[in-house]
Amino acid sequence: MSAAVIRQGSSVRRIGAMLSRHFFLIRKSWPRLFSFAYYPVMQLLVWGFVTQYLGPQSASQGVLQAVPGILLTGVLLWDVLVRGELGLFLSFLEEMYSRNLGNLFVSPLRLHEFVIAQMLMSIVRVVIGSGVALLVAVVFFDLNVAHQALGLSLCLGSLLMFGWAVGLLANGLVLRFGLGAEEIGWAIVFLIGPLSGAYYPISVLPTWLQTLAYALPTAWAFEAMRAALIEGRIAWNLLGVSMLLNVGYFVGCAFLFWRFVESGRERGLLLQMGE
Amino acid sequence: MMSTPRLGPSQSSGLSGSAAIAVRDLKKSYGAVDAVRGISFTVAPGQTVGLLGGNGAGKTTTISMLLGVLTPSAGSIEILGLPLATNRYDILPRINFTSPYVDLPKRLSVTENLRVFAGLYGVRDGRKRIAELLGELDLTEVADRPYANLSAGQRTRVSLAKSLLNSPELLLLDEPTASLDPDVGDRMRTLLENYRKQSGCAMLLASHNMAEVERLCDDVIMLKRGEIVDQGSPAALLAKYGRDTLDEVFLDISRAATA
Repeated sequence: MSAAVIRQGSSVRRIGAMLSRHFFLIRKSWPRLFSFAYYPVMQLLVWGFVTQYLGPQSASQGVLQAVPGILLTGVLLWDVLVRGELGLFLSFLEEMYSRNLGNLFVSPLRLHEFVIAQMLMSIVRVVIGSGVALLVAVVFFDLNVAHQALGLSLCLGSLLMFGWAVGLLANGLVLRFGLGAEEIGWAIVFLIGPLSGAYYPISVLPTWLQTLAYALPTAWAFEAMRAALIEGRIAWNLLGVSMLLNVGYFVGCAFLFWRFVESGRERGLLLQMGE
Repeated sequence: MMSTPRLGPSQSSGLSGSAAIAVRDLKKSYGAVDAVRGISFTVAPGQTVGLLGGNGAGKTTTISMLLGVLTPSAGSIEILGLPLATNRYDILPRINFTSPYVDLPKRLSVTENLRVFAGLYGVRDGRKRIAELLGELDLTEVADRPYANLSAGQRTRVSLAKSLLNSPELLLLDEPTASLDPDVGDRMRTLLENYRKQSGCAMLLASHNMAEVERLCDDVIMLKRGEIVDQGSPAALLAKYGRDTLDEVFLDISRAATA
């Protein structure tokens, strides 16, 4: 019977279908699209004016000359981490709010395809949000990082990957504990903010906090960012450690997410998740 | 008015004798609470079976296990001749469901929602299939309307359109006409009858509407506290209990078991 209608499924097609679900939503909601860039740009403007205030005072003081660029690049890369996490988390919440998870879980969509679609959506959010913020930084605050594009792109990749890991954990928590855990999902990425060293070197932290910080890939990525901007080099060693930690965190969080889904399957939560 | 439904392809199901559903000793426990207590039943290809029972009887739990979104505590499930535990992704493209526990994204239009699911189910020539279903379910006029702006009856029909997108060989229907007025409910039942005739699809229907069960089902499974307490065709059950309606049979069984 069905041969005339189905059996054309593929991973790419299912991931494409999930992406189309989000694009349908975005294209009819300009406020939603606007919100992608709103927060990064506002954040960038605040820090941009801070650097203008600091700029004249640091202009002739050696390494401090690089401070405005470090701060603005830190703002942009921190936002990549946040967008990366929220890209997964918000896509997941969309399904929860609309009580659509049950439909998805009984469709041929595989769990990894669901996650890949969310990661691709987070890239879209990063490109739009951080892209506009970068443009503002270049045009209004004379940020010039083109000479370190490769090194900074690697930092960006590392931070985005960690954002995905945190997003998976946040999604798993909401799946396991319901929308009551939504606040944790929003807040979780900011918990690591003080330890990540986006705006200052890890060495300024108390020694015991440094140990914690270096357990995070973000600390290594932002150190690599400073090496690129201050020393003009790609810090392969720092980036390597960051990536290795990232792989560990991503695998761990993906496993936890899978376990939370399976736990939901045990407890009968999958068909009834939603507002 | 709805047009005469031609919801499915005219070919036979091709199940070649395998049961559409074969359940053996199925159990589901939540801690000390047994929601389903070792039930066994089969649904033949092209057959419609009703799953009846009061609240908490285990209907939705059973359907959830058949859909693979709830892990059984014990027992086995075969769908379309394949063990569900090991063949979930071979089975899911061939079945579909409707349930009051799920909904569709409200800001997306009817067509957009169906396009997403056509992609997920790998429907060949999805646009054509969607246009057919919209026409057959009398939804063409609201095709571009956001799902949120539809009436309850229209939403139910969209949900049914979603469940028919992949021309399923097995449909699991959890209270498909709940909250519909009698007119729309009757139309839905007609659509389901026609789809079954045209496609040879098997259906498992959980419902509290005994008239609906009587009209659509070849066989009825009566559940009480997670156990099958009786089973048979509607006519056989009416004769056995000496009643005129399944409503009365339902009350007899549920009150007898409570006493």
